Amino acid sequence: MSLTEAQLSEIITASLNRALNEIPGADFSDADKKILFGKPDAILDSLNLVSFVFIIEEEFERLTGRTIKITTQDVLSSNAPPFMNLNSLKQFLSKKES
Amino acid sequence: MVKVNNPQDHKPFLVDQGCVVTYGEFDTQKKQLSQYLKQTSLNFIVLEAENNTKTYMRFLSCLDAGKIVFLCPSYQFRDASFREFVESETGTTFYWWSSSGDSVVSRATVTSHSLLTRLEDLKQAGFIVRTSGSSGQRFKLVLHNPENFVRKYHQIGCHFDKTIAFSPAESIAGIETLLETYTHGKTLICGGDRLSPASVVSMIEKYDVDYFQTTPSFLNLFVYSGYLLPERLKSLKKIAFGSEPPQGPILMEIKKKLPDLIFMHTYGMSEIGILKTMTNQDIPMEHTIDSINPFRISDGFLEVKSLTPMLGYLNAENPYTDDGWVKTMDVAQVNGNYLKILGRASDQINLAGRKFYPSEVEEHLLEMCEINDVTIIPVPNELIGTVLVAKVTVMPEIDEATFRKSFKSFCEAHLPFYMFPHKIQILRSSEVSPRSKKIRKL
Repeated sequence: MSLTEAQLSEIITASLNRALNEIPGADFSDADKKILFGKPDAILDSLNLVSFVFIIEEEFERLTGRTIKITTQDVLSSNAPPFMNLNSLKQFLSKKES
Repeated sequence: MVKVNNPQDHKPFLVDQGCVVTYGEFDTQKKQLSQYLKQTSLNFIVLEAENNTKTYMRFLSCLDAGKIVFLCPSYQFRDASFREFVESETGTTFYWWSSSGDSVVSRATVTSHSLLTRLEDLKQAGFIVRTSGSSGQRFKLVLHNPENFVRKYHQIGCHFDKTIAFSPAESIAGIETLLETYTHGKTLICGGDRLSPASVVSMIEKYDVDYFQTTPSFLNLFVYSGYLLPERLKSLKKIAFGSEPPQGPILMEIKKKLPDLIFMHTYGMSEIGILKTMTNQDIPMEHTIDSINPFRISDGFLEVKSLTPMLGYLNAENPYTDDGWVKTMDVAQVNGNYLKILGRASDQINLAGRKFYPSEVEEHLLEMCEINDVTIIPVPNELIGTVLVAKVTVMPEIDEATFRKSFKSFCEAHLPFYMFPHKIQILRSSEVSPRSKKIRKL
């Protein structure tokens, strides 16, 4: 069953709130205006990206009751990097789930 | 033969769940049992091990009778595949003497193992210890000569009057506690096999225990469960701790509440026994192995010579160097006069080009006042090789969301970036193994 727009937004908002409060060394304030990962000025580096992946998986499961596994292949996809920004993340989660 | 030095028949040897057994009573029964055992052809015996009078009686009687005895924890004693493992690995048919089996069945035991055959021919006693099998290694079976231990205790001299049987009876620490207490004619308090901080404090107070040997994980439990009560621990003069790296903040907290307490930071292995050390009383995390047991660092690894070296493994290659040192496989550093054990080589974490140990991260995190205990578990990860999962025990009243926020700030202020845990599991009570050590698994 695909996620609705509202569900996707809820998952991302919850994940961002947790990331802001929990991931050391990452500044998630104004995340909607920033690159998440993959560029020098991105919020995340390769070490703390993993923490963000874990949070998304946990929030996804908490809010939908279903599990999702974000693989290395997903993360490092060059066609549509899911962690470029919040829009790309939303599109990735939508496709992953459908 | 393991004998009491200056025996006093009326003196209590054991207080077993409140029941007193004097040296006179114990030795009379031991003599009878060992005489009986000598008449049997049961030379290789496995005892179901519990911290109680029966196990100790049988163990010491077997040694007196020149038998080779293996103390085995109950859950493995009852496991047919473990029995098969022991017998096939050692080429030996053992007699498996259960704790409930009161009579000895007359059936010959047999061995084809050269080490065991040699002892059997000499009618020399021995005991076997199973290594803990940590870091994914299979169990190794270690053979010892009990006379080496008795000789060591006479050389070191007695340093306590009453102690508690804390370590499992089958462990090298448990066996040494028993042998040392018995050799010096002192008293051993038994409270069963799974002690809690509450039961330990009760025993110390009730029986005026002056010496308590334990693990760092148990000391953590002791402190944060609120049992570090100076008014109830007046008799306690000395504590010993080992088997895993101690945590500095916990030791300093104990030192603050019990300023006259003597700390003994021990170092030991099933293969070499528990070595006498000199502990820095101002910084009890620091210790060095006493000069009667020389040590050296070779390629970053600790090597030692012990007064109680094993006779050998029964099922593995011996870890001796050509010049007779035991390779411990512990990574260690020398800091002035003191030795710091960082951990097993196999426990080392390699992340972001840095190498470090879980204990180093734990030491930092324990400075956070909301944390009672923490275990860092490295987990393989496709993306970065290894991720760090922190199992954190917090105070019951702590709100999880608030804690996670504080944890982030604390990490940013106190840890290098490569030590930031990637995932946190919050616990409300600590998990320790049956040997009272941290459980380093998810």
